[in-house]
Amino acid sequence: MSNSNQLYDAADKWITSMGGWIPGERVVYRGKDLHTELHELDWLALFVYGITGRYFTENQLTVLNAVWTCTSFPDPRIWNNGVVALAGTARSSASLGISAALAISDAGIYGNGPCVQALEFVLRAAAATDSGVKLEVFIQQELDQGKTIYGFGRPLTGVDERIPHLMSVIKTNGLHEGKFLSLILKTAKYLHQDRRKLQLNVAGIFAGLAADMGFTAEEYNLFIVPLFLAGMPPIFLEASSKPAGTFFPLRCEQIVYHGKQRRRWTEPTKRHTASAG
Amino acid sequence: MSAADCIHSNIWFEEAVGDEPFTADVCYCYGYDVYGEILTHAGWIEYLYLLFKGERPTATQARLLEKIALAIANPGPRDHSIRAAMNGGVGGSDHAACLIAALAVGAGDYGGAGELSKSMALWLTANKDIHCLQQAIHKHRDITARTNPADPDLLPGFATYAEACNLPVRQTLDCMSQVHDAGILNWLARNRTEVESIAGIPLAMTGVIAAAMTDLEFSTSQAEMLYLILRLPGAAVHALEQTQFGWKHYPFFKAGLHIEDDPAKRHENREGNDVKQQSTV
Repeated sequence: MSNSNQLYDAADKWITSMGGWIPGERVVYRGKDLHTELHELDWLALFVYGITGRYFTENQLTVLNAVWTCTSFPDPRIWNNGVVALAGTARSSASLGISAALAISDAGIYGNGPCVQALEFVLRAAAATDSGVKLEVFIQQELDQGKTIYGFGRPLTGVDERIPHLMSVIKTNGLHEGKFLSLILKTAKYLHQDRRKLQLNVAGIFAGLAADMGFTAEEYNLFIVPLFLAGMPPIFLEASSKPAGTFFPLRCEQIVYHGKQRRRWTEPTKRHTASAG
Repeated sequence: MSAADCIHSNIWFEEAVGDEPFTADVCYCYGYDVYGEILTHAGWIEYLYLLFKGERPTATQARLLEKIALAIANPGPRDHSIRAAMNGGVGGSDHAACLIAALAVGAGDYGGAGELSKSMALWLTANKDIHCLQQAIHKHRDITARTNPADPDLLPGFATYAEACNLPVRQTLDCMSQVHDAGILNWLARNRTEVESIAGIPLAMTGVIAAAMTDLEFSTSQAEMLYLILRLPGAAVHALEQTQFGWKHYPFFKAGLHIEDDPAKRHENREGNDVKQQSTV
């Protein structure tokens, strides 16, 4: 009735193909010696090697670097960045503020969530078109099923100022004609003609690129963990350097209350002793 | 001040001190004066229930929530979330970092808040009917086989690796079903062995807590939040304790790592083969 053998087998033993530290001697990193075989890689190249087990070309790394660079906004009003500013103004630590901000970057309306969903969309779209379905038909099916097409639309503004700059880097590095990126751009044309006038956002471009570079959804999810990271340290520095508690302090009246009227705790309340529900 | 830059709340309302807009004089939670009345008249659990549900609990509801809080306050130092907190403590990390580590790990679908909400969904689908539970488990396993082939045996609310339902789980179910002698808890207490027979594995603590949370009519989101919060005391004290013991007294599994595809061993093997070939020649 049990699977307990799996625990017995694993007790005191972790078999890994990813690597580890041989104290005082060396470090193994996905089948390579970190200090003699991978030491000349730049950090991003090592990061994506760690995720995929593959080496990327210089052109691909330049574009992947641009993906991170173009999302590094030092704006403390953006929800994840705001956590960094709040940590600074509340005199918490940089690592707590930034790690919490990265954690909330795995969000629903922006950040990691839509990025991964956009990748899954383009992979589905490619599978459909490979099997002979017209892209327009596939998109319409997704819309008819009530699915959100991630990589399109954006909170606060429909325009994504990052796209022309990123596309320029992509073209310069010869990665603009990939199958998946092309599918995203065709989807953008179709959705722009639709009554919803959904505009492409940079997550759509990222997804096309990631798929063209062979990222799986799981790998891509790991790649985008530090997507917003570089925008955060300046925010922490500034919030820490200003007087404590001065990051957009809220007045009591800025809480707009819609709830129950004032009442007394000592008033008897309806009791349902027979039911917990 | 822009009207757009306001926080809308059904929970909390403050009255400012005279002409000091940034300092509150009176705070109301769902209409109750927090420091003027709740502090004096309510207990922690009643206030906790109020915060999540917007109404005061009945005596039974308060008692059941208190039992949940007690049962999961410390899952013990073998639990993954507690281990995460202790990893922080033993290295001298920030207290908050230790708790963040516990929350991050304790959010998972195996033993964590993710499992709790999925277990609640299973109980709700089963609706206290063994046949419906059987169908729900079958469906769940069907989906898992397609979407999560790495963990085919995970079933939310059940102990994947256990031989039999352990005493703490039985004691908790027994205690809670006495506090609240209706709903899913009561059904589970009466039908535990049959339920386990259908699942093929024993009931776990998450399954009992999920039943209690469902009986208290918490949404799965509310229950996940509560589960994360209420398991933090154990994380805190074990992290603090390991700071005191120090890293020399904490498992490192020095001999536990077995590296496959070690380049040094590849070189050794190649050299060995070369020597062998030379000697053959």
